[in-house]
Amino acid sequence: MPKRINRVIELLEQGQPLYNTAAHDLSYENGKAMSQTWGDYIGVEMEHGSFDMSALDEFMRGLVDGGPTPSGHRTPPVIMTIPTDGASEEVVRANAWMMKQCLARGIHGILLCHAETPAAVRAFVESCRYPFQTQGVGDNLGVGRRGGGGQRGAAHIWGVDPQEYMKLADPWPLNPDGELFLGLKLENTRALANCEASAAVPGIAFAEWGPGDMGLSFGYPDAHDPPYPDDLDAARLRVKAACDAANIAFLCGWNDFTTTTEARVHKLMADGVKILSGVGEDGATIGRALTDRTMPV
Amino acid sequence: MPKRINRAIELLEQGQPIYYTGGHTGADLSYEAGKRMANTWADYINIGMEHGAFDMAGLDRFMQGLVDGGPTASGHRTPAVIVEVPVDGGGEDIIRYNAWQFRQILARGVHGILLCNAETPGAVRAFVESCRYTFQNIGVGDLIGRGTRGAGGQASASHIWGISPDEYLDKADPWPLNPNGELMLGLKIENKRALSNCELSTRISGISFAEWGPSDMSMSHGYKGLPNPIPPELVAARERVFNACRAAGLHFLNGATTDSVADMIDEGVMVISAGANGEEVARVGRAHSGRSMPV
Repeated sequence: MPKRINRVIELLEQGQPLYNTAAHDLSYENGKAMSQTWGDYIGVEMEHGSFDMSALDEFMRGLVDGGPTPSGHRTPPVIMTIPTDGASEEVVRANAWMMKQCLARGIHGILLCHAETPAAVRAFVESCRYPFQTQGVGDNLGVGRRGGGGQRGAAHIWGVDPQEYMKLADPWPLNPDGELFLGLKLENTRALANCEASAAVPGIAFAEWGPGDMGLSFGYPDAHDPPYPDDLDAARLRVKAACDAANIAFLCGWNDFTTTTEARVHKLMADGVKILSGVGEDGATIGRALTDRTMPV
Repeated sequence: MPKRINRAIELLEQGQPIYYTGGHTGADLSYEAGKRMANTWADYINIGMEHGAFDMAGLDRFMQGLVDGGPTASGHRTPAVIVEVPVDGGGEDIIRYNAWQFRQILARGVHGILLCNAETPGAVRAFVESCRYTFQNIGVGDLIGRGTRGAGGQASASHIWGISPDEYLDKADPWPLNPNGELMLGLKIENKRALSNCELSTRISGISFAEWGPSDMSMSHGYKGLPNPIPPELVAARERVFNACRAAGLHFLNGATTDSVADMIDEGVMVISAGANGEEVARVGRAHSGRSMPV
């Protein structure tokens, strides 16, 4: 019997690393099929992918109809990247409607791309919270700005009533009972310069260093995968250290295909990565065995 | 024979309260739904895109369905359609950055837009300007600048309205600022920040109706939903928005039941959110106000 709606939060609370997969087809049929995914969560990419809310509705409906998952959850969690980036507070405030739209579809988290300033991150968290929530509101976080109206559809996906949804749709671990998983891509030189302050904004649960975009920002057109130049590797380590200092999970891949999947999983775990990206189902199987995972997925 | 394209405006000009159907989210934006709703009991259809899917292709299909299912019993080509737009009115810059949303939605042939969380007069001014063509000049002055809506969307919208693109350019202007305008622009004054500016925001030229958004206003005051009984601070918020509407000559939008609709009308409420029992609320209310137009 699951303890939480959001499986990734439940796993992190058990000290388990996470493994992700992605949905490239936002159809009802693919939602049904992916309800049984091997991934701990499903990434839906809308930074560059089509901003198609009706398709996301269909996909989420398919997840519900194909469920429950082998772990007993109503759906796998869905974490999205969204079209707006976090270049500044103004950019995020102007595009706060995207957070409202996506959350109203019943997803479980958002990953903000190019999170460049702490003020942008604050605006991001505030845009995802209802105004009546008070935990953490103070110097480093203002009151929430997500309005009422989208809770009914989202509550249906989560399998709770709208009142319960409003109580639970709050960022974890800021709110220990919250079920939203908010993350940052600290993926360019401007974001890197502020990464310690950005990662420390209340309401953020995870972050990554986005090697593709970080590489571009350093002037490398194709440095997504290791081995990395020294300055790029230093960026990776700085973001990791910022995550550790803020006590949030670090998401990272290690696409060194000269080594085995097992070696890559060991490398990421040794580096303290909590969300292992790009290791696939085989890597997830290896990693779960290493950490004595008991929850079936 | 209808006198106007926008049935809601025609009724308001007759002194008749108007009733809408459609929620804040979850609208079925299919062609078939449009055909079905062409003969709705409601005076206008609200499409919630603040939280509902921002789906312009779906809205195209729905509007075409309305046309093909029409005309309405009142003789209008379609019922009026008013869209709650995704962007909110948190500030003038926010509206300017998202002016493209108004262009997109208006080009689908809708008859009005309701701006959520309209917090500042600057945001409201930018909203009205974004919905007006640049050549319109009624009211342009201290309180409102020239329109910023550009050409290009009039062909698709005019098809839905059943007029030529040239006529559409003349008529797609906010009423009652432009007495011949067919667009209804409204505000949700629904949080503390919006409340503190409501007297100024409602006076911006081009707005025709406003509401106090009880759910969001409650959240903004620290409640998860509208408490029962309604606490004094929220009663005062409603009264303040209502008074601001009276002073600015705007129509006030409020919810009603079959038991309360007559009192609401007598109080001056002119745009009525009737909920799940809407048709019956409208029947009672229309009888109370002596409605003659068939719907």
